[in-house]
Amino acid sequence: MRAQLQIQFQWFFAIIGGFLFLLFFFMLIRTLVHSADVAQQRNLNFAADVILRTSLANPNTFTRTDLPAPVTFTFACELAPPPTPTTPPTPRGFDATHVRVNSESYTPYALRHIPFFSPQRVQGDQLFTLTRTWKAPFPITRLLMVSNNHTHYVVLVPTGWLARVKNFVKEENLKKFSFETRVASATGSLAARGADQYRYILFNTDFNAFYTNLDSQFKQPENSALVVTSDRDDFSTGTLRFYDDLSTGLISGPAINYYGAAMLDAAIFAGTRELYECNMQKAYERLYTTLATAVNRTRALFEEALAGALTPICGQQYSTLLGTLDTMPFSAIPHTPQLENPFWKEGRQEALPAYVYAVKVVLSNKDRYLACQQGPPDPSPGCTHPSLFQLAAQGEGPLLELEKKNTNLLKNDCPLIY
Amino acid sequence: MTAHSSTDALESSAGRRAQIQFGETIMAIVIILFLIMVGFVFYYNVLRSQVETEVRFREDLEGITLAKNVLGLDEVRCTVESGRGEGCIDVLALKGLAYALTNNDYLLKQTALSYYNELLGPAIIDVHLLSGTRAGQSFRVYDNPPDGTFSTERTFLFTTLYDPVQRTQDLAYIDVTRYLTRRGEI
Repeated sequence: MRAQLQIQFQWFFAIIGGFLFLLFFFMLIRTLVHSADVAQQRNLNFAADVILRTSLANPNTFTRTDLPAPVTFTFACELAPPPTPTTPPTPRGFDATHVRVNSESYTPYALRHIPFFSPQRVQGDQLFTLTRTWKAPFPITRLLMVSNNHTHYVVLVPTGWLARVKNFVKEENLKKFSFETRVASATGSLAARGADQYRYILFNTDFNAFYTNLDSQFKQPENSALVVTSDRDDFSTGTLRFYDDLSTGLISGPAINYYGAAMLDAAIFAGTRELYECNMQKAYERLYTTLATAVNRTRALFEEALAGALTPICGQQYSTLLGTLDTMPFSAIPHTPQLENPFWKEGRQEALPAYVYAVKVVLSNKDRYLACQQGPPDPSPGCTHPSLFQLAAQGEGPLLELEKKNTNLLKNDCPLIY
Repeated sequence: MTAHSSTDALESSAGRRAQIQFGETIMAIVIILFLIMVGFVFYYNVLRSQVETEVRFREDLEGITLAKNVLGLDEVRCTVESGRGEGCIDVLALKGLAYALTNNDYLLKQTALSYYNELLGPAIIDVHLLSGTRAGQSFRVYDNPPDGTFSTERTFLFTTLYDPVQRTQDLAYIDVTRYLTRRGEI
């Protein structure tokens, strides 16, 4: 009896020991699997961060990156709240940019100042990036376009315009994305390409006519359209109208003026108007220092000419260029020193060269200045004058003047200002 | 000698042998463990010196990276007619940037310079021109020392800068003083 009890107890302990042993291994395996998932997610986050940051290293460069596993990227950027008459514009918050890699969201620290333009969702095991330098007219910053071959871009142009957009669309790097160019009248014959989403870029084409003829299979929330209106052969300035949701066909906010081919490329790749505007805010933040650098350089060239290191003709041209910079509309923003000039010190007004003050005014009134980006009719309060970009879209203004004067410098063998 | 005492003697002898063997086993285990510990200590010391070397190498690299970050900015690139391609840095643009970045206006520092402060961190970056018509000139491009007292790490990077007036590539060096405000503080 005692021996039987002993044997039973031995089995009992063996079973308990075995159970604990199995439990230990089960928990170990579960922890390892969870760690592997966390490690993979971390690797994907890191890969996304590195891809986006290093893509900026070389301008006008297309990069195709194979990812370690199929990934769904979700991009978001939130606009800062608009200033009110009683509250001044504040620096943009640092957490405006969010990236979700699969199901995990993170705020990429390094991407807070990098303007990147992409569809809201990019899925697949490849990531395409293209970098452009935005010039207005001085080089301001690099803009990063992100997409892959699961997004199909359809360019629609009026009859007879195919040759005109040929240079733009057949550009080497753009061809590596999934692009298709058609005459707008052939909208009804567009075929599905098996893409996750379609983005239609209409050059000087009526959106309503396009939408009426568009097959219902393409009228989905994930598909979007951009209408570009431009009078220039190279489409370097113009206006943009976003239609973020083709299931409704409604315009997403007022038109936006653009200046520079890079801004147009950015609008083509940005999935929504908010993504475009929010990321362009990051580019606008560089306006002060890049403009101040270019102006300071121009002044230095002028002084070199005065000192005899350059010809007198060069000196005259730099003088008129500085005059153009000094009279740029943003220096004409109406202000009373106490209320609107943040650099007003009681009893003393800063004595600064006009162009330095001008760029300071740009900075402190950035949101109000850029509020004039919206093409007519412009309901923005405080917008009493057209913006530089709007003037350029209309074929006039100091930006185009600078372009012309800069080109003239070459004729006289003078160093360019940009 | 009786049978009982001989048995006892045998048992006693066997017991002692067993104890001796047991002691030998224990000693062997202790010696093995001691050798393993010595091995771990040795391995740890080698690993630590490798890590220290890598940390020093990375810190040197940090200084060079800061200099490269400045030289990689679009606002200091040469203009198109210089014909120098990517990587060409204009000395007048660099001076123009220096003026913009070293401005002491509080509002400008808060709004315009946050990008550069994040890119370059707490550091001082000076440029010294060695050749050409501007040989001997120096200027401070970036001036952002932290509050308080911190150790510094200094790096020098030689480069060439394009003079748009003389149209020459002139030798210069970038002097980067980096403040060690985080890991690496001595």
